[in-house]
Amino acid sequence: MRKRLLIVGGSYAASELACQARENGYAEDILIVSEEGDLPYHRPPLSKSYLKDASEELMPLRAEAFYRDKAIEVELGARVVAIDGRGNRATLSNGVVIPFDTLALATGARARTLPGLDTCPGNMHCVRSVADARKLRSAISGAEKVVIIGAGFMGLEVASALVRQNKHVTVVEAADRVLARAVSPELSRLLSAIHAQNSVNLITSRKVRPIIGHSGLINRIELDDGSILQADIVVVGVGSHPNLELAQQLELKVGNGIVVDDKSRTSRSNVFAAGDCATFSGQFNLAGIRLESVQNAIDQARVAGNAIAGGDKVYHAVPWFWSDQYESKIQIAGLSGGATYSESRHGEKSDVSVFHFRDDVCVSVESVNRPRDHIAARRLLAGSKEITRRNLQEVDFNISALLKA
Amino acid sequence: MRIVVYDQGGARVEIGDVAGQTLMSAIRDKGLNITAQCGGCAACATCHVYVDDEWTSKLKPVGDVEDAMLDIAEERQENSRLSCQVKRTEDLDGLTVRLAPGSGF
Ligand SMILES: Cc1cc2nc3c(=O)[nH]c(=O)nc-3n(C[C@H](O)[C@H](O)[C@H](O)COP(=O)(O)OP(=O)(O)OC[C@H]3O[C@@H](n4cnc5c(N)ncnc54)[C@H](O)[C@@H]3O)c2cc1C
Ligand code: FES
Repeated sequence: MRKRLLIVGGSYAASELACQARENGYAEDILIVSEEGDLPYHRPPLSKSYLKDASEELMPLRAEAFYRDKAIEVELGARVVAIDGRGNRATLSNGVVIPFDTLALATGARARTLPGLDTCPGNMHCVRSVADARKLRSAISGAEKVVIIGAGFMGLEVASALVRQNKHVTVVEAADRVLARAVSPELSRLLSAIHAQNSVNLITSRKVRPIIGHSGLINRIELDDGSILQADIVVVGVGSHPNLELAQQLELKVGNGIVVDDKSRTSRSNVFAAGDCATFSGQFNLAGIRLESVQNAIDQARVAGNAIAGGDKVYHAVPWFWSDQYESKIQIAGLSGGATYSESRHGEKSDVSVFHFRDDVCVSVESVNRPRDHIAARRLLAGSKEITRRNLQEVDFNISALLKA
Repeated sequence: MRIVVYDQGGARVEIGDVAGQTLMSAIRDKGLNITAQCGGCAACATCHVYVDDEWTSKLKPVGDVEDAMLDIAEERQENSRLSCQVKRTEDLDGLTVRLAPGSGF
């Protein structure tokens, strides 16, 4: 009988892992099982261009023909509900039982909901899947007042898309600054100013209590200072929660995600994990933060696919991330957590780069509308030479100049 | 319009009725192995192609961001382009490109 690699999940990590296993010579069956109805697609546009233009279509990662040519079978609309780790068998929501030899968990994460709400009112939205984005997109035209709970990337991107469609947009954040978990205070300040200029009402350090009316919809939001916000639609962007149920059934080592090594191996020898559901600590992420980015999902899946095919690639990638808000392209190279010193350089327009140092060594560069700085930072951080504060001072923080040195 | 693509293994693939907006989407929709990780924002270089010499001068010049991005691509050459930055236009009928190493990874 042929052996089988079973991949649970239907996004970047699942697709890339399958593809890399095949490209590196894995010759057994490969099956991807995804609960979503569409082939793996690009998620970032869902909170950006997709909300701005009703005619914008979903962008697949790869065409159906690709999976067919590579003999990668994709089962859509089915959820893996149970895994028997002793018998190496998975049970799908449609009752089908699938034996496997190697298993890859690429289950990603789901949107967190608001605590204390046990129903999902019809006018409450999140944006995780294309189904969510379709629902939100169709509700936009009938709405005037929008309250967004949570000033993370998703919340701020949705705010920028909707305020440009003349909606009255309020963003409420519990922390004392926007993007508190993801970016430096400098960048938070900058982005807050950009949102204020664009007429978004930004409220920080406030907790919310949604009030559900007779219709079963949320009609207003009460803040903990007693003030009330009216809302036609409410978008919740309070972070995500890794999908760990299957990992727990398998008794894998789990922290804030499935713990993997630099080949994306879990604590069980025939089980791999990659993407938003996994955590890995290494040179560029000493704290082992669970990264939620396209880069991380793809790079972890690459080493997993390679390892499954018998290769020995290891994960050693500089984290990078992007976000688009209004005319601002935000790009982040490296992680700024734990930085002890920062310095910014403003350009002539509204462009800026913020350089972060840990003990005099540059660990991250956040930039707004300075793609060259971002790219140079990615290259330099990936290199074997440290970039010190002095190195940057010598070129007056024109980081591209260091590439030539 | 029609384009011709040589994949990473050298196989010739003709794309007869290109529908996508960019060269990248045409290659992807044909089912060729192109990662195009960032979905076309000129931020990843995993859509890197080499353009056949007779076509290089017919394309719009390399933009500033594209140029920077190509610098981090594997094995950049004179005729390197990011396929997501090449718009489909009728005058490119017959355009011939090769998928660069790294475009499928
Ligand atoms: C709106 C939005 C905007 C974003 N913007 C950016 C951006 O600009 N830049 C960036 O770098 N990153 C961005 N991200 C983050 C990025 O999309 C994620 O990091 C990436 O999608 C992670 O990929 P993944 O494959 O690990 O998991 P996910 O994308 O979370 O996918 C997991 C998949 O597995 C399926 N699944 C889960 N459990 C099961 C099961 N038991 N059985 C079957 N199927 C299952 C899910 O349905 C889903 O299809 C954004 C995310 C969102 C939601
Ligand atoms: S798809 Fe990322 S640079 Fe072209």
